[in-house]
Amino acid sequence: MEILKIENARKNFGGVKAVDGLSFSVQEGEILGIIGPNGAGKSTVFNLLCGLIPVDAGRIVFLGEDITLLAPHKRCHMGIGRTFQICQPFKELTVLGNVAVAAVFGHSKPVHPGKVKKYSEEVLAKVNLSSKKDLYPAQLTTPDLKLLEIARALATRPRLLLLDEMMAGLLPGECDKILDLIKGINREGITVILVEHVMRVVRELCQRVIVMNYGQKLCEGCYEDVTGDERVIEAYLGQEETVAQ
Amino acid sequence: MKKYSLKYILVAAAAILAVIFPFITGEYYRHLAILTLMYAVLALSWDFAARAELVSFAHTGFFGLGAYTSAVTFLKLDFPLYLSFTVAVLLTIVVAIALGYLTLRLSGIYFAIASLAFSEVLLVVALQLPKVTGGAMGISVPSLFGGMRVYCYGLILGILALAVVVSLYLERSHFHLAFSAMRTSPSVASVLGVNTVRYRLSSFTLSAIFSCLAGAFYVHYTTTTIPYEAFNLNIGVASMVMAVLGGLYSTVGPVLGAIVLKIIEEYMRVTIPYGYMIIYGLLLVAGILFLPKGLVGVQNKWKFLK
Ligand SMILES: Nc1ncnc2c1ncn2[C@@H]1O[C@H](COP(=O)(O)OP(=O)(O)OP(=O)(O)O)[C@@H](O)[C@H]1O
Ligand SMILES: [Mg+2]
Repeated sequence: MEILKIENARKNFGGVKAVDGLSFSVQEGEILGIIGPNGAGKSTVFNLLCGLIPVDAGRIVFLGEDITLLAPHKRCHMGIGRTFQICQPFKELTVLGNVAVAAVFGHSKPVHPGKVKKYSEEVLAKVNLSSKKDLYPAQLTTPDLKLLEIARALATRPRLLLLDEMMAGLLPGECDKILDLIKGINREGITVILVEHVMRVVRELCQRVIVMNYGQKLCEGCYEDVTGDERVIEAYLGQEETVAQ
Repeated sequence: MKKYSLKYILVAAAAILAVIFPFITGEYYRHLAILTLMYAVLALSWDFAARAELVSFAHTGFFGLGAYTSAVTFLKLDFPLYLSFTVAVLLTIVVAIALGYLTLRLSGIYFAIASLAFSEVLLVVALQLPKVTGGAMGISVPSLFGGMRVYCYGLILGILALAVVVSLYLERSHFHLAFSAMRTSPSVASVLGVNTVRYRLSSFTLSAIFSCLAGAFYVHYTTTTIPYEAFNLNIGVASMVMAVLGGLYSTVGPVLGAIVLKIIEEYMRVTIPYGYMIIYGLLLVAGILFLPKGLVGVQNKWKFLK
């Protein structure tokens, strides 16, 4: 079943065509990768999908419903969750409080905070942050902040999860842990779109990859096909050999 | 456990003192206490807006709107007191939601300026409608409860109690999470499901309601006001200073700030014949410098999850 479809989406920032007539669709249960050079428009696509930025033109359909004009919190209630490329924890709240925000407001009707304590703790256990639940974000390390991003998104009970460069700034061992976590999340039936520069992660996780360049789709296919494509090597992989290995 | 029982004893003692205060003191202290409670309502109401990161100067406007609406309906339409208060609150709700919507895109200093402009516009309206408001000459109403200060004290204490109940609810419910999240990032909060528009408008409207009630009380208590007094920016600034120095985003903070500052101000006014405002101002500066988190110093831990 097709869970998400974006048709001919456009977004300009002044003269910059951040997203330029992009279309793709996502099947329920898959892990789709989006790769491309810096500034290709990958994060902007996520912003369009979660509703933080309105499209200039085009259409977004989620679960058969046109959500193009829907506010971000309503898209969250429908089941779109996301993380941010630059971790954005709520600094006044503890780790548990951060997750509780998502647990309380992830539905169309907010529930009482006292009622989500257990659920929030379960989500934290899932990402292995239980021991840090009473710490404040300022006390966390980068890998833990990334885990908190995932925990918060998971606590909203998403059907589609958008992960923006989870591995950036992590050591290989830390990458592996998050990689397993994403596999587990997907096994539970959550569809994933992944923006990633670490090619090893893309190869291991993604059934299908979309390559973006200058806001457009350069090509699309399985990992081997797109990484073998000459245009992709020229536009992206060629300059990023160190990462690509 | 011990810490909690001490806290409850303090709260109970304060509540008992608040109730018996007018019966054990004279007119001067009663009057002072009434004004102090009124400022406690204003400071708490200012904090309601601050919780959603709104630095508002609209409180002056809502104070004056409350004063004038209740005075005019009481005088010209012969409404009983409770009805004139009700009409003032209803009008305030409509105006606050409208202003809230209009300023939805503004934050920080831009919101502050817009809210300031709102208060100034209301001042001009009050001056330009002499048939209704009495214009620059002001408006006079009969004295509240026939001038019986004990009853006046009871009324403003009741309004403060209501504000405290609202504040405790905001602190202990999902509002607290929404506000804390929105103070860091409204966009991230919205992606996690928070209807940021709703929480911003609620905080602003609740805050406007209590400023309006303070204003409505004020005009009936003092029996007369002019636009330059009811729409005086000092009202909004004083509420802000009391909330900040007492401790933002809490119930105790703004109330404590109002009590402490009002006592200090009055003490200085009486003991320092000339230029007491200068010393008072210096004291405020020192307060901001040495107590950046106010008298209570917020412990923004999420109580339910501890
Ligand atoms: N809010 C914004 N305002 C103005 N320009 C923006 C905004 N967001 C993105 N851009 C521009 O749009 C283009 C695409 O940015 P985007 O962040 O989507 O790229 P990206 O593919 O995620 O890059 P990276 O790999 O570095 O994260 C860039 O030129 C960027 O400068
Ligand atoms: Mg990006």
